[in-house]
Amino acid sequence: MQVGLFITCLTDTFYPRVGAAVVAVLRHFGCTVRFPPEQTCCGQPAYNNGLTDEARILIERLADIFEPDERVVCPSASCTAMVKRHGPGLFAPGGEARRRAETLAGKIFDFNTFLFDVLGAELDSPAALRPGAQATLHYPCHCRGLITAATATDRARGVVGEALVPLERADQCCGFGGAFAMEFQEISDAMLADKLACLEESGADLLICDESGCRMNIEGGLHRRGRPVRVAHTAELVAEALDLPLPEVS
Amino acid sequence: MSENLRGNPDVRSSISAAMRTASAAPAPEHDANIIRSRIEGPLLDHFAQKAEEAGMHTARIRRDDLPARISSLLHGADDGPVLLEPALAEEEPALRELDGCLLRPSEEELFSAAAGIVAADAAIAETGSLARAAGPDRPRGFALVPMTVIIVLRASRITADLYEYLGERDARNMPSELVLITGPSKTADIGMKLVTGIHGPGVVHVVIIEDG
Amino acid sequence: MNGPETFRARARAALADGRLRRAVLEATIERERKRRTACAELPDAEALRELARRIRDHTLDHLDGYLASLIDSFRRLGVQVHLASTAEEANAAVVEIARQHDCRRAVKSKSMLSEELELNEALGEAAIDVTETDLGEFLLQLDDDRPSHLTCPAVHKDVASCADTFRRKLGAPYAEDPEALVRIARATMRDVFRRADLAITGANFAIAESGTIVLVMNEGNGRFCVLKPKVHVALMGIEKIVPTLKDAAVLLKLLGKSATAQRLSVETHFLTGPKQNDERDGPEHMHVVIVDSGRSAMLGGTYREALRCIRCGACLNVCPVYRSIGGHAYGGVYPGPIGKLLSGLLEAGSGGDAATLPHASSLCGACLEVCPVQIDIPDLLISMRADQASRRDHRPKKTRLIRAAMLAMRSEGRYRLAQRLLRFALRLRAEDGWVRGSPTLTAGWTKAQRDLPAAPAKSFRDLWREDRI
Repeated sequence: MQVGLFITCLTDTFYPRVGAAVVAVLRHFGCTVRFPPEQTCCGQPAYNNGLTDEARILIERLADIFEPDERVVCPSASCTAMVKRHGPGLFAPGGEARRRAETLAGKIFDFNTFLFDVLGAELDSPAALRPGAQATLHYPCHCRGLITAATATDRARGVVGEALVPLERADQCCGFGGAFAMEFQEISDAMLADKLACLEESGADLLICDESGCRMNIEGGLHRRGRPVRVAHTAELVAEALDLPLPEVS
Repeated sequence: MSENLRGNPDVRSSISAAMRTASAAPAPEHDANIIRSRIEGPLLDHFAQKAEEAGMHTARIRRDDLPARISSLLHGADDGPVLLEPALAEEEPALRELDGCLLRPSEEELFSAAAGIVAADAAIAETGSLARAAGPDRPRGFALVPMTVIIVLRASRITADLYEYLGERDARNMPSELVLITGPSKTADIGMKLVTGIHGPGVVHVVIIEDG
Repeated sequence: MNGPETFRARARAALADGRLRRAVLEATIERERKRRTACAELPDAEALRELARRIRDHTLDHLDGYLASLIDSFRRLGVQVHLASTAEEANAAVVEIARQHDCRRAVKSKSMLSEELELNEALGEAAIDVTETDLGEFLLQLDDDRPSHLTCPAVHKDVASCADTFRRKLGAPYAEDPEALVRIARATMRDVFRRADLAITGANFAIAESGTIVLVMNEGNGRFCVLKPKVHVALMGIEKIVPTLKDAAVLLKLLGKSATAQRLSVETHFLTGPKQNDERDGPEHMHVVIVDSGRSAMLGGTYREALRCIRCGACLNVCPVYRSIGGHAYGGVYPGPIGKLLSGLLEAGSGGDAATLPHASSLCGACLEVCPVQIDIPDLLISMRADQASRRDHRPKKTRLIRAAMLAMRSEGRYRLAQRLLRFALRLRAEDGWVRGSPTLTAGWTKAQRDLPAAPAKSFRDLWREDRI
């Protein structure tokens, strides 16, 4: 299957290894991946802050850029949700621009859904974690409307097997929320502290998180507190399970 | 404006002004399959289970045993007058024989009563609720003021579901007060701890007459 | 209310109050857990929410007609209706009713609308004594405090604080024991109920076809309110109308489960007209005050769907912001996610932070997921942000910055330039790949308890271009 990769700003800039893992896994399961370099942002920060005109322009841009692709895959839940759930509504019904936004919305998938639902991928064996390791799953808010928490948990179990342990309030926001994290940093901090407390209680030393925004927030909190918990995207774990080579990033 | 209407007529004109022209859609259809609870097994069993879960005590008896059963339940109540709803006394004359029970208490007696005995008009299996309409022989306070309330229910009056029950009411002929009682009065306002018997009854017995 | 004047300051104070935070967090988590279990019993919870939404929308679409039919039903029953455009008119109507019947001692069951109207203050000025009868509200009234939750008003108070209130205000022995405190309240309130001559209630629903006011309660206080007083006044917003008894059944099935995880609340109370002549108890006169106070303006605008709200409080319990700061920080009468909307939209009870509140959300969507009538609160918050953004004179600084960033995103070249600049700035300050403190733009990030990762030397697109992927 031919797919276009929508990398998103945060993953492009901060987590290139995730992008590399997405591509490696997709190729492993028989996809041809195209990365159109003109792509920038889906307009989510604009949309969330009421700048609808700016968001509309960026969605239109993306619709043009990914026009040739059969499917589009995105490693981020929130950017996928922006395009899929909010994109079409930015345009007047019936118009050409609306149709194009709807076409893009129909063919874009978050990596997780694409891999397990569209491709129907199955792993022969779970990711090779070190013996005794425990993993848990943070359910990013923007998965709402894309994947249920129960489905996300089932899929995570498919990836890490019996190492998966439950996370209390797994579906509670980690406090990121884009500009919110800086604008209301004290509230955001309290939310993050609760997430980290639940994470500590879970006993997990690996957190699966398929959203770069949450990852940046949670990893940043873990680092400040000196906690040795690894945060990883499903794509990275699948690539590791399949022993696919990934480039070194530093 | 009609004689029962006072106040600022702007309320109605602002609402009318806010109406959208394209909103002539009919009321949504109610699909009973998604509204009604699925109840497996006998209604009585289901009702009794839900009533217990709501914190009430249920007992199933034959009609002949009603006075004896109520008498034994009253042993567990505090000291004080026992109120017997006149409508129930009419239906079950044998209850008039209960020691010291009052059909028409003074206000002082009402407020010092230890127990009240009333009849339910209906019950709802889905929720374990008892329906009671107020009326001349069904004073509001009897099922409210005393700490212990005993509700007599005929098993034949159990309805499966709230939707069914309310749907069968005559909208133009509702009693002045209808209350669906689902458990003893309770609060969790202090420290999230559930405490029963805050203003209304703290103990609710449901005596179900199976052969009624 | 006393205390800090801005949302930020109140939120900061709440975050520093460990006792408050523990009480709120524990209560909300427990309530949400129970709600989920309760809703799982429904044959098809999603479909029922959808139906509830459609019933509410249909009613709002035809509100003029349903109001007319409700008023007709009230006329048939001999219920006096008072229409009030504003809080002042509503309060004046209640005071006038009290005067007309020579009432002096009112008992009141829980009503958020009455909080919104500040009715108690108006009654006080008219020398009408009023007692809150819901236990939580009673505690708050004793303390001159305000509710911080829609269905659990004193959630911010722990047992010790309740015991202290009763000791100070009722002279009761100090006991950190909920059972003992409840007994004290029961005994205190009995006399109040008995002596009252005016009952004031809200209305969960008003059924148009039957003229019925529906009250949903657990403590028995609602039924007590309409036992002895000779006059009953029910207050309702125009949006409380429900067309039929069957519609009410659908909403009731969701309300109890969403609010308190009950199949049905302990007393679901249908009041239809004053008592009949031959009844022993109950009010001889029934009045209904129907209040607009900003609602008809919502009805005609972008925020109509917020009028679907049935005040269950489920959105508060699940909201990570509410869980962190509790209800008082919001400032207005309605806290939590729905409060962020209503505070800016209703005329009364809004507090002074209407412009800040829509931004104090991570847009996580937990509220929409639990709302029994599917109010898309995140989407409406975004609409409020958009309203602000379109007002050029008051555009927030954040919005201006994001707008500038978004302009850069319109071209690949500018995107890459911005990416390189950011990477350069971060790597300049980083130690071992992390930035621990940073001035200017990202100060809010690192001021919180988190570090910022320095971007790797190569972005994904760099690696792709170099053919390393």
